[in-house]
Amino acid sequence: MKKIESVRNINTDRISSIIMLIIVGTFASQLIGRTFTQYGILFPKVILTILVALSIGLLIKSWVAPELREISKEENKIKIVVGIVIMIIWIWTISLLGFLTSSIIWFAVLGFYISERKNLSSFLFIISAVFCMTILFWFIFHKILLVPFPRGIFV
Amino acid sequence: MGGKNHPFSHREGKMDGNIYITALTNLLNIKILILIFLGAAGGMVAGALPGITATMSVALLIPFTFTMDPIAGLVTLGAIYCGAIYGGCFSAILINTPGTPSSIGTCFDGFPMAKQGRAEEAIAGATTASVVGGIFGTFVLLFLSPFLADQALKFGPPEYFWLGIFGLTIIASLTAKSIIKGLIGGMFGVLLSTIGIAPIGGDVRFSFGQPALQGGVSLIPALIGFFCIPEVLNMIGTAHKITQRIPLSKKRKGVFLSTAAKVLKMPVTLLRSMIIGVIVGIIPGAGGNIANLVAYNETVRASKHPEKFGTGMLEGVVSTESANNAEVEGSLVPLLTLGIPGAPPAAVLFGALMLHGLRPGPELFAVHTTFVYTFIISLFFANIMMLFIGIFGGRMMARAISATPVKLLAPFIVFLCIIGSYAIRNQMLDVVTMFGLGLAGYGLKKLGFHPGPIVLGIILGPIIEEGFVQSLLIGKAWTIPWTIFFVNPISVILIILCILSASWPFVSPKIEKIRDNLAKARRMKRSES
Repeated sequence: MKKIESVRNINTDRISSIIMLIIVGTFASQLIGRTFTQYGILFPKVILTILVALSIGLLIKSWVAPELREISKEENKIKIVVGIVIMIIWIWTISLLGFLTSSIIWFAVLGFYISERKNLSSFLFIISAVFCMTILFWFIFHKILLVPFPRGIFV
Repeated sequence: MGGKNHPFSHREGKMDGNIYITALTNLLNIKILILIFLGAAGGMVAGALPGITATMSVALLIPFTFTMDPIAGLVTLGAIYCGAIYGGCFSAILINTPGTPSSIGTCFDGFPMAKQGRAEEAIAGATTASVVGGIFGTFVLLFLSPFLADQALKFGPPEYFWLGIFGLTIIASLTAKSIIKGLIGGMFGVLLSTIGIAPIGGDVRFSFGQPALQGGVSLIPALIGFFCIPEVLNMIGTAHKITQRIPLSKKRKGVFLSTAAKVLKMPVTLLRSMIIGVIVGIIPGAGGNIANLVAYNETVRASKHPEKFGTGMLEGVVSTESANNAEVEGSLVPLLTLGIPGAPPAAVLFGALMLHGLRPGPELFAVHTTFVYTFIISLFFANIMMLFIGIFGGRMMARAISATPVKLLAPFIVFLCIIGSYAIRNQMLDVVTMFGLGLAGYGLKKLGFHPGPIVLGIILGPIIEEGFVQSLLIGKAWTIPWTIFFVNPISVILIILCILSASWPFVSPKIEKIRDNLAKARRMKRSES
């Protein structure tokens, strides 16, 4: 396993302020060309104005007294990205395969992926643990608490 | 249950000196005691599962009480309510995910304690604080109900507005390192809370063309996403470094007793947090989610070492847990005396009372006196049983989570997150929202944003907006509408509290400096003399 130990400092204040200004812009664009009642839109406008002022304040601070943070330290970014992709597929396949089936598959895949030892015994351990946990919780929520989990091709 | 063993039907309406004895006699019934035990244990398990809130726990279990008599049914639901609020501390401490919104503050110091191998100590502290808080709240409910309920009714829209703003000032304590980022996070949370239909006017705002967003951002998926997903991603990214997320607690004899003794040696923290919990509980609309954060904020402000909070301070766990359990009984004060629920789970209890043919309000005390006092005193029993359940169950849970390797724990948390966010409204959109906000939370965390202010903004946003807009509408009758925010005595008190709370992180270091200088000067004088 390749260890990522590099440490890089970035100006988080500047990045944060720019991201916030983009978010505010995106929200503000929703107000253009639409009519609202006076009291329906007053409060969001106040909040957007405050957010713009604070973001500009943070942008100015990023030059005057910037906060520098170590962005990567002892963290395996590839694992994080692959983990995110597995979780996205997990959520996406719930409606296709059914809640229980997709949970058993992707729970096991994620567990096996982050496991250090990738051998048969580790695989069998993960599969058996995943099977027991998912079935137990599915039974509690679906059969006792009557939560109607999505069904797909399977359960 | 019925006939001779039906305490409600035989003893209602008697208000004399023996009312407490009669209520106790009703409770000292093996069937009732078993129901209280099962209710507290069941509530605790439900509360420990992220996404299953106290409100949901009580609501889900109401049907099981249909066939019981009113006392047995309501006593069980009361125990579930107490247990669920307490149970939230387990997941907050062990996996950094508040089981209920009432345990958000418990994550701040509880999880760092667990990471240091002090999970059992954190759970013991939370258990003791919860039990003490619950018993204190029950005393208040028993003796001060009518007076306190009257005071709570004096809160109008301007007072709610200032109460919300006061809640937001907590950000200053949560993010002392970068207050501007804390404020941006809080405002971002408030902005997220404005998505959906406006409370006044009915306009659809920021739906981005998605009909599903008209209902707004659901609190629980947001809460789970912001707190849980960043932690899972952190686990995945560092899985090659660590095999266990939480180190196994060292086997220490008497850890519960020694921690309980430590907690009881914090009477000021306990009392302050419990009073905050009761007051916030009594105010209709403000629940344990606000109580625990306000109590945490005040504990940090009052501490001589505020910088140590967030690193594993037992005092932080004690403040939040004593406040949220005292809030349970606080929320029952307006419910029982005025028929106005103080918090969402109390609103569900309102429904349960109605189902059993009991109308909450003054009539309840006048006509069904024995029932009311039996119910109130049952909360003592529920809290005491919580202590025993917590001692044994807490240790088991801590050991189980500690022994679980990261390769199982991380995907298991994702699995719980999906269940928790889906079960709220049975909508896949909530799961997507949870995950999307979780990813956003991870990115924001990397940029130095704390999830606390964002979640606080989402919780307080609707309270502030409603207070703000309703006040302005009422203020239309005034020459200058804005003055409505500043004229009522309660508003003035809240404004002063807001100013004090917001300015405290800036003022307290200066006060400390002056104190140090004075002490130095005194020492110099002494050495000279």
